[in-house]
Amino acid sequence: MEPVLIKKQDIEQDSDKTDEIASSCDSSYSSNSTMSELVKSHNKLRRQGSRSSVLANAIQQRRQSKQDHGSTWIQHKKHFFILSSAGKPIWTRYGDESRISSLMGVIQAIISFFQDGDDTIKSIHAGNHTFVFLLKDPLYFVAVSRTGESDGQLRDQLLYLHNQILSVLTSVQLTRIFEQRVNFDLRRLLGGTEVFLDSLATLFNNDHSFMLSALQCLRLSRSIRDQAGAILSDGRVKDLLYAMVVAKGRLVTLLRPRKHSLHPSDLHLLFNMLTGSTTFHTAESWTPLCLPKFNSQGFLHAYICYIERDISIVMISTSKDSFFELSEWKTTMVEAMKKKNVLENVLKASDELYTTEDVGVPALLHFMYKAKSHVQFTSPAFSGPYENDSDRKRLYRLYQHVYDRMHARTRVLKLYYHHSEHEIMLGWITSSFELYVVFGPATPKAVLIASSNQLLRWIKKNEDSLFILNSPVF
Amino acid sequence: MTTQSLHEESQSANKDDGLHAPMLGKTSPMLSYFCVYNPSLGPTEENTKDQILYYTAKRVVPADVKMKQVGLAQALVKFTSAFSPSKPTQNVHTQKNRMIFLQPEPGFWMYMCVELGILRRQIRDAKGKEKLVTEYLDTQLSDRALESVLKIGYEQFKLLHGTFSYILYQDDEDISGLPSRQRTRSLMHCIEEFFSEWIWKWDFDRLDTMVFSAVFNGVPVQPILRTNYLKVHELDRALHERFNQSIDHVLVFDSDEGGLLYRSPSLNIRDVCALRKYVFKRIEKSIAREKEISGLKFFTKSISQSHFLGFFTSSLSTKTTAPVTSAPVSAVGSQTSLPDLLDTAEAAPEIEADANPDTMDINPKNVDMNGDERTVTRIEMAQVYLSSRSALDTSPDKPHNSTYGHSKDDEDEILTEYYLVIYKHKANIVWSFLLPSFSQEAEDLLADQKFYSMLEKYMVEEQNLNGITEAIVSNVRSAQEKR
Repeated sequence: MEPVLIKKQDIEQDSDKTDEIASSCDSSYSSNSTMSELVKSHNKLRRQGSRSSVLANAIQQRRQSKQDHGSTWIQHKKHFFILSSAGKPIWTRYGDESRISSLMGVIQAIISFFQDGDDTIKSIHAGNHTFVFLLKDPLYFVAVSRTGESDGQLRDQLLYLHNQILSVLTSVQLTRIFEQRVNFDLRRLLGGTEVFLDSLATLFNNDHSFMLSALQCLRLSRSIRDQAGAILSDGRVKDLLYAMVVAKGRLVTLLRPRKHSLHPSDLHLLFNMLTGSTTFHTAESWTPLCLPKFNSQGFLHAYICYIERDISIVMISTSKDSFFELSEWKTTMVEAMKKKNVLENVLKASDELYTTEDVGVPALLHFMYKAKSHVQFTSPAFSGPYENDSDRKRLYRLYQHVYDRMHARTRVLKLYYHHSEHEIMLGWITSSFELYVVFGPATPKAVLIASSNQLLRWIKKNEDSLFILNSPVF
Repeated sequence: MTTQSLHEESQSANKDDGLHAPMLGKTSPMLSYFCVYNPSLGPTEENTKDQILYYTAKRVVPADVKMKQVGLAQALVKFTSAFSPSKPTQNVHTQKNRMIFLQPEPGFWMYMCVELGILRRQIRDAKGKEKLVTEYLDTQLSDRALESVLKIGYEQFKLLHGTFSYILYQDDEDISGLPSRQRTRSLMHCIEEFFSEWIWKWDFDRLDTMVFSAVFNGVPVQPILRTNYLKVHELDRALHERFNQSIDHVLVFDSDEGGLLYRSPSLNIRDVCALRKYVFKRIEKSIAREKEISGLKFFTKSISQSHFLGFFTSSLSTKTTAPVTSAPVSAVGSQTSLPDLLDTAEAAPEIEADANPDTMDINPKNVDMNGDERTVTRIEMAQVYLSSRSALDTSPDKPHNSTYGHSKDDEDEILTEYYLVIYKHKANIVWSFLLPSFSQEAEDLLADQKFYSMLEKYMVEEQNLNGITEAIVSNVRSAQEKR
């Protein structure tokens, strides 16, 4: 029997798919068509409850009334909507798709008005709200946000949502579906993958890798990383495209073909899959997926298995039949890792992420360093003044703001100094790196410069543990 | 050589009527259309076209397209209000256009669409073929600058005509019904008079030159010594008493740099901002006209004149004491000027051949609030609407407007109508007097020919205007030298 993705609720797989178009992905996602609409939306609402950006008493209010489209709905700081070009709702971050169809209709009407005039709407600004439109036929993506993010950043986030959908369907299928039936309800095909759209939306507010288009690696001593890489290279299975070890959402090591490196946005989608659904934790999983930047037109297959608490092995294969071989290979790898204490060390490293104190630079509160050539970035765990949520959030938005100002298309800045009552942030971009450093608000400029240079030296010295410099290739 | 464009160029990027290939190089941003509308004026399906109070566009647009555009505007506003009820749509960015919205009064919308500047270049692509690349210069048009274009437009309109609501509803308590056709028409007429010239004068390529005067909308202040300031203030008080409080507020500007020298404390600073723009506009216009009319005669006459106060009125009388224009003035600095306003309602004929061919015309604003023509008087000046209260206003006190301007969300802004009389002194000091129009005394004064000479005489003889002026001028000069 083919292994399937087993959800916590044991649902019978629906084999009665009449759409031939959907046949290529029926084996792996347990279909939701057997779940009643009510349970599905209840699950969604429950998920949203914990990610809500609305105050606690509003959540209380929402639980009391079943209606989740009252005033609390508009108070969310960022909404995402996906609709088809015919105006049919496909996904919304908050609320239920079926209830917002009139809003989707208005959006579709607005978009088509401009298209009739041979123009394309890009964004609307109203007070503190920004509305960004991304048109990727046959789908439309809309973000409504009052987070202060710029148009460009919201647009990039919408592109990620688009890539996520592509990863489930491929671009070929997507266009074909809508060519055949303009009114097709895509929700049926997206099945259980809305989870990943939800988690992606949450990740945008917590993970800078999207903004930086880079990966965050686990800080690990060179020798251990090399050992892990050697274990991966050993006994490589046929048709394997990529293999990697991931710990707590950070990359440990990656095995790749010499000619194809993995695009960061594809990796982001993979990481999102790992964190987005708890189902992968329970068993080995074998799922088809499309990596849009690698090849948006065809499917690959992914083997995912959690070998330890937060550590997983992911393997991408071009063949859909190699599950068993990959599974065996995984077992051998895990044995080898245990024997050489690699697993133990990786676990320790992922539990004890380094902090600013470890860096030992005076007056430094936090930083983010992107190594351009490696397409990786590093950032310490939060400590000191950033241990509470609201300060962390503010710092997150500040990084976004400084990044955006420095990368605005018309003028790319080299230095940016931002001083507020809470902190000072210095942005520094050169041809080889981007550095964003945070100091306390009273720090004098001389200290800033000296500390930043000291930090750079520290990073240089610890380069081989902070970044993956040479990942194994074949 | 193929000309593949990246942006579906061939279809419509060039909205010219001719179908020739678009030119290479840079096209400036330009106004596509501008509209003032109020949805409540056309609430039913049949009379939706009544919603449009004013519409102008770059090229002729059929009525149904206009309605569609207004419908789009309303849809955009409604859509954004779902998420942001207190602050609806301000601007919309599209690939080829920018749309700006302003709701200056509840229910009234001003809505402008500007085509973005286009840069067309030919580049060689990877294969060596030449390609036409079209770039829409989105980043070169600032939203704030465009918004301020609309805000200044409204500010000046309000200065000269009062608010939209007042023209439409007067003092009606109940505004739920539709206003009378006559009032609607008079509002449309006012709007057209003002905006038809005004909106087309903007050069959207050069919005950066009006940052201080329009976007920040402040008043440059020319500092003078405290003693001089106090002397002017005394003069102000004296005038106030002398003419039984008919002269309500006084403004003094230095027309060289456009700086404010003095304003009566009772005059709201927001009003000063609006008045300043208007005063300098009138001055510029008069100078231009004067040069046009008089030519050589101007120069010879003015040099031989001994009187030094210039009025901006035409004078009927043959009184020889009627004052004469001042010596040629320097042009007002460009940073103070906004695009030229052609004064509306040029009802007055040119100055008749009287003893003073060098006096300048001002254009009358003889249409009072009811839309009726006033009985034609020959003394012409401007009629303005300000939020500053008159000392003669004995109506019950409403919450006090601080002299530093009121918040934008003032409801029921009550405007007072004033007559604005502008004097330009030979040393380029401009005095402006505001007389409330509701006061019968003020009306009488203005209708009286002798008033102007009385005023001049009083200022010169009893208040030592010359002395004050000299002191101020030397003040200003020395400040300039220090810079």
